[in-house]
Amino acid sequence: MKNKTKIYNLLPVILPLILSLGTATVFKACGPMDNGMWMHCHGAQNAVVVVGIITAAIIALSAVVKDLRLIVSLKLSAIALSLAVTLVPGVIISLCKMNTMRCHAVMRPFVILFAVLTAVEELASIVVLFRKGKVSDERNLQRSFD
Amino acid sequence: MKEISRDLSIKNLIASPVRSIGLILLSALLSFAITAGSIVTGSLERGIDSLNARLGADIIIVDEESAAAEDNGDIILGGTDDNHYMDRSVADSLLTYEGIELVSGQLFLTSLSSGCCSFPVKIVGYDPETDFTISPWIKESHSSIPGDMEVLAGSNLGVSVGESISFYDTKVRVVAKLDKTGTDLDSSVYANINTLGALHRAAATKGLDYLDGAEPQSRLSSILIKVSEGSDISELVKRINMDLDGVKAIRTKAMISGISAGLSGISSVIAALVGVVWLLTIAVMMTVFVITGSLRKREFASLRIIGVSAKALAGIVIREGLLLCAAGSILGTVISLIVFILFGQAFAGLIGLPYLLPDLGTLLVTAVLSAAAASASGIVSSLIPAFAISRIDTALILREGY
Repeated sequence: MKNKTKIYNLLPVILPLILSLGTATVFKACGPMDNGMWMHCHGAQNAVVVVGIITAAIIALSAVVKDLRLIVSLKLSAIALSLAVTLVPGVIISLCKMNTMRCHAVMRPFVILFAVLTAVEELASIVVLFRKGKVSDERNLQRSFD
Repeated sequence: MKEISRDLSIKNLIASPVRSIGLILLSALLSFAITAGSIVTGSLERGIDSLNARLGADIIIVDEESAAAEDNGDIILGGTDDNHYMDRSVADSLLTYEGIELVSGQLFLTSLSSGCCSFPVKIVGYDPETDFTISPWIKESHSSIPGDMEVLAGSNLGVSVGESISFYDTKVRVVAKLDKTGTDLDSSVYANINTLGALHRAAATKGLDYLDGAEPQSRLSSILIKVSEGSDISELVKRINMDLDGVKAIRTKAMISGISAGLSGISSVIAALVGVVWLLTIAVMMTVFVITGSLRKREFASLRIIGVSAKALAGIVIREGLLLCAAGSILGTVISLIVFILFGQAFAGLIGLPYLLPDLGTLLVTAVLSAAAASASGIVSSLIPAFAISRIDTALILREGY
């Protein structure tokens, strides 16, 4: 049962992993120019892939630690990272100037969708965590925060 | 008793999570199909209306080689992409034809990577004095008339008003962004002939002499003609094609009608697919409700015994169907909206036809109506099982151990 719970707790890692994997493959940015040079959007793609992996690692860590305070802190970090990654394509790193290009039409919407889903999922898990804590033993919850 | 029957519907659904989730997903699929079908059909219709409104010309004349290289529909949708040109004297000769009210020429250049894009941007040069297609569009969007070294940018270009953009290492200033049309016009920039001449000279310094040494003022890529009221457009097209060599006259409305016919075909297919999904969903849901109703006969008989009326019993079943479908409808509609709003541009590129997504208000209304229609299928699919359950013989069921 313990192992089953741990595996269940690790499921949220899937969303940021899909974000990274998808951005690197099917939903990637524009290809290189004729002269072989990459455009800015390629940098945005790489940044999203890396941040997605880091977010997945943080969520995985929050699934294995026991301290409630640490779990909540890690989840809040994951939320902050997920929201920040929505700003990478187009705001932090500029994309191509034509809205019909891949980086605008495919990569950016995909990043926004899965980053927001990750943030919402982690927020929901924090709410569930607190509700479970209230129902089971309020004194234990208080002790872990002291 | 009303409260019992209302609570029971919700508790019954929670008690059978697998069945409930399955039916919610089925309903979500239905509402997704209805919403997506409505959005796609509406966007295609808006696209063709937009193209119709933008075109303004009755006849378009292009170089014969361009006409041979490209489909007439493609020429209407986005002009010619190759660099074949006609002599400007063709436009001058058209002014002698009876029945022609207005003649205006356009010159296209295709830029290299302009520092913004890895694929060419079409630069459309037009004469503001004779033009009757772009100027009304400009006026409609309250934009400025471009002066020398100034351009109007199509809505797909990621540039702001006042920003400079380079073509062939020559800077031009963006004075306005045009409204979205849902066609290739959105990926072009518009400039006067003087600006185009400057850009052509810049291109020539890079070894790209598109006009083979000729001046831009002496060449045209296309000629747009507005025919006088009451004149026979088809007859004019025939005469022009017979009289002038090396060019082809195309009747624009006929081409747009052809594209419209194609679009209505697509809309019919979409409507048919949505109809099939709808019928299948109702059929599957009805089957599930009938089967589960049959399995729950003792439960319903017990409820009758404690005083729940036949009407309330039917209400429980209908309420279950409605709740499942409503939940699924909302889910499917939200997913559909997210997909089409976020990935609308990618979808438009895939279709390759005039495609103009409706505004947010229209999208929301479409979504609400689609969700309502999908939710109604929950009521429809639960009517027969509800009627059957309300007619159960309580004593028979409890006595014979059903």
